Amino acid sequence: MNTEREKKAHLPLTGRRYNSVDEFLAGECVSADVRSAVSTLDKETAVVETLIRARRDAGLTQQQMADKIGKTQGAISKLESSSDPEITLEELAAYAKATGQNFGVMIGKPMNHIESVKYHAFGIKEHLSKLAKEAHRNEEVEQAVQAFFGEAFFNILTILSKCHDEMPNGSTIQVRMRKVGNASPTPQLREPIIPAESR
Amino acid sequence: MWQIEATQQWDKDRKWYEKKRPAELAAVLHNLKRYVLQLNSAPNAKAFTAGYMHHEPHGIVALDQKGGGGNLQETRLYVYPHEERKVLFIITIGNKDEQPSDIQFCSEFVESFASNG
Repeated sequence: MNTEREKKAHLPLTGRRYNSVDEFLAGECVSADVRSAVSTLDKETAVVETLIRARRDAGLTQQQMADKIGKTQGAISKLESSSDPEITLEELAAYAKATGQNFGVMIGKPMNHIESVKYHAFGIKEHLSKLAKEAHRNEEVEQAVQAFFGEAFFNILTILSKCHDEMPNGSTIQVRMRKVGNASPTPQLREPIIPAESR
Repeated sequence: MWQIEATQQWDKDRKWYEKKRPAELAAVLHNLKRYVLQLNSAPNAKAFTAGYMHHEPHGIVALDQKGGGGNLQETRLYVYPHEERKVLFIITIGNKDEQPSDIQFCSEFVESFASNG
């Protein structure tokens, strides 16, 4: 027996209820060191948790998932209890197929926030460019793409504005653009979109 | 969505573990997060299993320290998922040696809880 600890007593409940474990840890004053250690462990199971959420969103129990992908419920339980490095691409593909979702896999050093924003910005540019080409097909497609461009433009500006408001001095926004060679007058994504000193 | 509430005994346990066994505490709390995700993803608390969870008498579930790294002391966080209220009660935490007395302690908690409503 552990003699260092006091004998346990049937003490009442705290009377404090929480909607998530994160809220619980903060509300019950769990130390910052322990919360940080929990957060580090969470990062090792982020992919597995994505798979569990995908199964949940598809309305499947572990047994139903097992039936769908030809495994036992025990195998699903084992997979969902493992850590990310143990997950195989075959298992990711099986979950994607069974749940009708798609998962992107990025291998290597995680991107920082700025790299991540740039990565997604290039992705948006690529997709918008493809949509613009689609718009040449006929008038109906052109109108639909035009409407979507308007919606996307509004949403992207709203996102930028909301995030900028969270800055300490969120009243002004600095935009620096450079025209390169004979390129079109639209901003070039290869040019710095964030001042160098902020990177 | 399940809610979470702890006993005051857990609060005392937590303070002891923060000082003496912080890595074990972090490991079981990480598994608590994983368990709550499963609870919120399942039709009921018995519809899933996981390598880090152990079913004990009276519907009590013990979450261990697996996944927290090597050389950790065997540790159990005892919880009770109350299906009707959709509340997960965090009862106590202990090591492997304390397991029999901890399960007895948790059983008494669940029984008194049931008799008092």
